[in-house]
Amino acid sequence: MNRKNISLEEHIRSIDPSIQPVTDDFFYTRLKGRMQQKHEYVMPFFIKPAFAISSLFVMLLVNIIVLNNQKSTDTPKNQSAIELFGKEYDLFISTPY
Amino acid sequence: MITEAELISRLQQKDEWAFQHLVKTHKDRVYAIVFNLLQDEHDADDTAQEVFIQIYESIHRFQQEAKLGTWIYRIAVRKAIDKLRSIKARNRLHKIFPWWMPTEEGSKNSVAFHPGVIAEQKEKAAALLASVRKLPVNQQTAFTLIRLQGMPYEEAASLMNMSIKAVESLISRAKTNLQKYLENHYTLHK
Repeated sequence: MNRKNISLEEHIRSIDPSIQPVTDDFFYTRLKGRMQQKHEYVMPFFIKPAFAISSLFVMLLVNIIVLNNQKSTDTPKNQSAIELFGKEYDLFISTPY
Repeated sequence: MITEAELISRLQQKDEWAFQHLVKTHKDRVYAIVFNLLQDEHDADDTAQEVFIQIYESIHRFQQEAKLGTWIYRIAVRKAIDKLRSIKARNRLHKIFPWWMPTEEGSKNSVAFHPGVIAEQKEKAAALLASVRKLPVNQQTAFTLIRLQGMPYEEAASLMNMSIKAVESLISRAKTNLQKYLENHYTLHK
């Protein structure tokens, strides 16, 4: 089709507005089915994605905090434990051979 | 014969017969509105169901300022516009991340489903419907309701919550854009 020959009105006339699409006879049955499904199934709060994701983040945060605390207190605690262990078995006494 | 006030009162009491009566009376018009806007029979069926679910859930808020029919079709237009916006957003995302978002654009064959398409002019109807899909949502809504569905300007303006002047301006801009899109369409499909 030539660019100049394109008539919008002619294109609009290719669809008859007096003939409109209609639904089938089972529309109401499908609608009732969907409404029943919607009202019957209520998702328990603990499997809702928002709850699951936020509790996952809280657990992750608690883990990070615990891990951080452990790291900062780890060195002196370990050192004193080693010292105690050494004292108990006299490991710090240098033996000249 | 039941009066509108009686029907509304029974609907507000969640009367099953009243709801069935309402669906039976308005389902085809609601379906036609959403089908013409979405150009897809599955989306249209889905959205038409959502319209009636919303009516059922919010009928207690209906204050008889407008006719019941107008209120229903207003919900239908709003739901179809929401769906249209989400489809358009999805298609825009598909252009950026084609591997991530599946698109529905290519699968549309509304000409095959629209009963109003004149048999000898299927090609023209397909070109027109493809061009209408490219219009901005407001222009698409106004053009579809008035030119493809044959709705009077006053009714379309009322359903779109706009003045008649605003709708006229949308139609005029839609026509300019459509002319451009159709020219591009035939240049590409030469």
